[in-house]
Amino acid sequence: MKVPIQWLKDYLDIDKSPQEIADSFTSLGLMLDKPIENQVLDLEHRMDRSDWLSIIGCARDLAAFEQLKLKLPPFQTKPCLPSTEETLVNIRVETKLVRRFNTRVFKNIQVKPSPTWLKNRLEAYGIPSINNIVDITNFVMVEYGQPMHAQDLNKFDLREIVLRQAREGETITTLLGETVKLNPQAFVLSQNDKAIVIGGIVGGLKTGVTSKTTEIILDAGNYDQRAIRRISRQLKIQNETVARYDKFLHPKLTEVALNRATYLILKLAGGQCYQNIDYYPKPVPPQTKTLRLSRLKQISGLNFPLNKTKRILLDLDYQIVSETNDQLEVEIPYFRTDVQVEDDLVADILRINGYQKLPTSFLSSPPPIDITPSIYLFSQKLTQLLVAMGLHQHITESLVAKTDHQNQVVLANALTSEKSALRLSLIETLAQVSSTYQKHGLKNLGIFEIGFVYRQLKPNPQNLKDFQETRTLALLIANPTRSKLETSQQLRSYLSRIFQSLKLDPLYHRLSNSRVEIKIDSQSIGWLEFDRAEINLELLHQLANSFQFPLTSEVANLPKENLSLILNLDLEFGPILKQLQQALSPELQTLKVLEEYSDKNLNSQNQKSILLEISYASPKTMSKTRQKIITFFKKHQVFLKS
Amino acid sequence: MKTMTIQTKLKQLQTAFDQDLQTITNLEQLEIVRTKYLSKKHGLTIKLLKRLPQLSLIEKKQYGPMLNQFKRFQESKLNQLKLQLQNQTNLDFDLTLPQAPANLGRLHPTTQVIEEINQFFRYYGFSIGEGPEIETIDYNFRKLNLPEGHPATDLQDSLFIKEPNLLLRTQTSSIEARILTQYEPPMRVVAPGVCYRNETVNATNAAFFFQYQGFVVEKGITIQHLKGILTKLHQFLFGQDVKLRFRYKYYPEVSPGMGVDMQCRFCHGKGCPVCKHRGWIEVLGSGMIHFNTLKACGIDPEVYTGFAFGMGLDRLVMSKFGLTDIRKLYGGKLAYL
Repeated sequence: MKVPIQWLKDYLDIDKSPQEIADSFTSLGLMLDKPIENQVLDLEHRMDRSDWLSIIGCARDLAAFEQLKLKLPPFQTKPCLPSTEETLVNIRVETKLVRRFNTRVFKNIQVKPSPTWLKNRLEAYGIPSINNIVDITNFVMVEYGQPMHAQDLNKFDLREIVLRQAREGETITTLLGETVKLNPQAFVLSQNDKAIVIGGIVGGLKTGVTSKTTEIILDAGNYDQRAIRRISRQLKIQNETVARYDKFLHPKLTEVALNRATYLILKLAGGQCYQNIDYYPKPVPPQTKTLRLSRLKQISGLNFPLNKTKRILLDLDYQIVSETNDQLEVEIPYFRTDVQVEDDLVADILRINGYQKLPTSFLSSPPPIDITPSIYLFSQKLTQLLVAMGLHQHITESLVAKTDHQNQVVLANALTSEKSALRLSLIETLAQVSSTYQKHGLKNLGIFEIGFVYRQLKPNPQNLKDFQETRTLALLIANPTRSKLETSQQLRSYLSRIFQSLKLDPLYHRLSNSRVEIKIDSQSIGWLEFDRAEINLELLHQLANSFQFPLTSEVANLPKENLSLILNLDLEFGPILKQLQQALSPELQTLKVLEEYSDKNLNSQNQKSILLEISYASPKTMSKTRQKIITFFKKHQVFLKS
Repeated sequence: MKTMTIQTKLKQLQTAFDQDLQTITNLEQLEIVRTKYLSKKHGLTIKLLKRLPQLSLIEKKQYGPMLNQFKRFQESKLNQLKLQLQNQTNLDFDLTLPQAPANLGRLHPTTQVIEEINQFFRYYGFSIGEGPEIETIDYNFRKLNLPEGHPATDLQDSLFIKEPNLLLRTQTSSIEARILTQYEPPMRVVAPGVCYRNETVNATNAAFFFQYQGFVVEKGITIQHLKGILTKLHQFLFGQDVKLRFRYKYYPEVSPGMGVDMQCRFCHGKGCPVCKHRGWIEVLGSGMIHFNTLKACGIDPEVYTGFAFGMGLDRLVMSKFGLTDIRKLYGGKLAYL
């Protein structure tokens, strides 16, 4: 909201500098949004206070804050002349979006340029001066926050305005000369069935006031703000009228604004004012609220004296209906459509008193029970482990392009096709980092992300239960430049460390030539390829023990030996080793793959070679155990290299 | 006579050994000297030691320790020298060449900031809360005092999965609504999390971003507690001399609402491009949890009061790490050097 200082000073005597005034506004809820230019304050407006889109609304709160008197401008106090058959313009409302349509008719007016004071104020605000009538409607709109329309009655075919829903494809040329195509969501003011104004949004060219105008109908309407917001966005029209009509204005404001405009028109354009139809089928009664001093204390921690509380409320135009020692019943001023609950009155007291003045306190009660989910702490520890191994953590955006996967969660209103669905796999988005690393010359680095993947569980999901968000770990060797074997060994060593730390013994089961499934207790928890892996953390967390990092101060003096083995390239050796270990424990203590290679000679026979380190429980049983191992291997087509 | 001989001999050996040490320049020479004195058969020191059994008890007591000490002295001198010589061996590479720094495990900048803030709140007894990203209108808007038709709930601003009821959460306040509904007070919770908006993406606005929510519900909580914890938080993050400005600001899910600004640390409030010439930088929104919000979540607002705050994390992260484009923060464009 733009507030020219000169205009503001029409309503209160304040001798502070523009910067000081801006500071006061900022404190009470209207933050200075941009640097002060040409003695105009640009204040940030929030959606609640429709009266803060008027200079008087801003001035009222400033006056209360500065403890100054608010001076309201003169308005028409005498009723206008009764309407006659000759002056009456019939109003018919055929849409539910109109809460009030308040009109007056002026005859014998003289349209001419506005006086300097009026021009100056409008121009300081940023509205160009047109003529006295148009300027007055604009001036009162900015002064009180109520948009108004003046239309040239001589351009009417019939003395009637019908407010109705627009028709599909109906067009109108606006005051700015633009032709707008309408749809039935919008409503119009129509004249002889032709749209002359887009209701609550913009006036039409056809009935606009010009220098030749002598007779006008002036209207101030009150409409469903949600509809105005919807329609204006649809039509992509944003202006001063829309900015006010898409907020919650009170229907009573139409009277106040019309009285002020009438005063100015009669003064600046002469002529006579006639009453006309005021469509207001459901008058809104005044609202009251009770403020308990105990509530004020409960929220603020302060004892506000009754007098001070009353003074602030009265300054803000609340009326005291009744009072006792510990509570006030007040009538809410009509323009305060934002007040919902007692605490909103508390807010008024505190902000007019000044937030900076509030003391600070510290939480002093004992901390409540910790409700942090254990999986959050688990993920945190896992992150620490991965970082300790030298991996880089990344966070990638979960929005991806839509595919035809039946489980993919697709957005209903995405802005772009690249971001029209949620990822099904974490690797999918993490993999982008690899090319970034390549550009920076970083290679063979382990990277990871802990994030969510999303699935819909049914083809036509109806509620939250039909969706699943799964916390997932993705691991990737970014920009691998070494052999696939070496890259995969790096990746597999990370996995081994994770599982060792969690005291888990996974089974790697081959799904295809390039992909392996990771199973724990016969439950699949993820997969790995030579340079990447993905693990379901919800499952891992359920299966895992607490993190443990084995250490010892003793050297185990177990007898050890290395066995060199030859086996077929496509043999799944991992599960065989696991079986062996289970079968021969404890006489067989540990098994460690030292090397894994397939040299050319072997490869021609479709074979590979593995160097295995074996440690035995005791020297005495060593040779027996070795024999068992060899027998076991033979059974699985694994042979000792001679 | 014998004793004189031993003592004299020892002195001679000591002098000779010192001289021999001076002449050693390589490992070969060192081994010759070692053999000369310490060889098991012919070593001069060893030979002298071998004479010990022939001595009288008193002499043994006198010269035994002296000779053994001399032997240990020689051994340690020679070992020391050997190490020195070994290190002087010619290397077939250039030690003067600097190497690329060792790889370091790293956290994403946003994680670092979240952990830093978590650390503060954990100290004050806050739990960490979580909630789903696919959310219902009820938790994302309605329970937070945002009725249908409220401008903040405009369909255009949210990413919907299924209109009108399922969307990607637009704010971490939805986690607050869930926890208030699920648990009984007293509670102190912070909730960092991803949020989504239907934004036209540019350097400062993204459809995917992080917020940090915090709230407390207990008997006797006032707006003074909110001011207190936010002051401490900013002192923790930015130092004791940080200057904060508290002002009224409207947010639907709180009343009274409170906006918090930090004095610009570049211009100290004078106004500069960093603070868009305001002198202050908006850091967060907060307030006393709305009467209607507590009620909608099943908490008696006459008995319990509470405060809540929420802040965008990305701007804080970007300024801390000197990043200028939010798209690069979560677009797989970061490389840790």
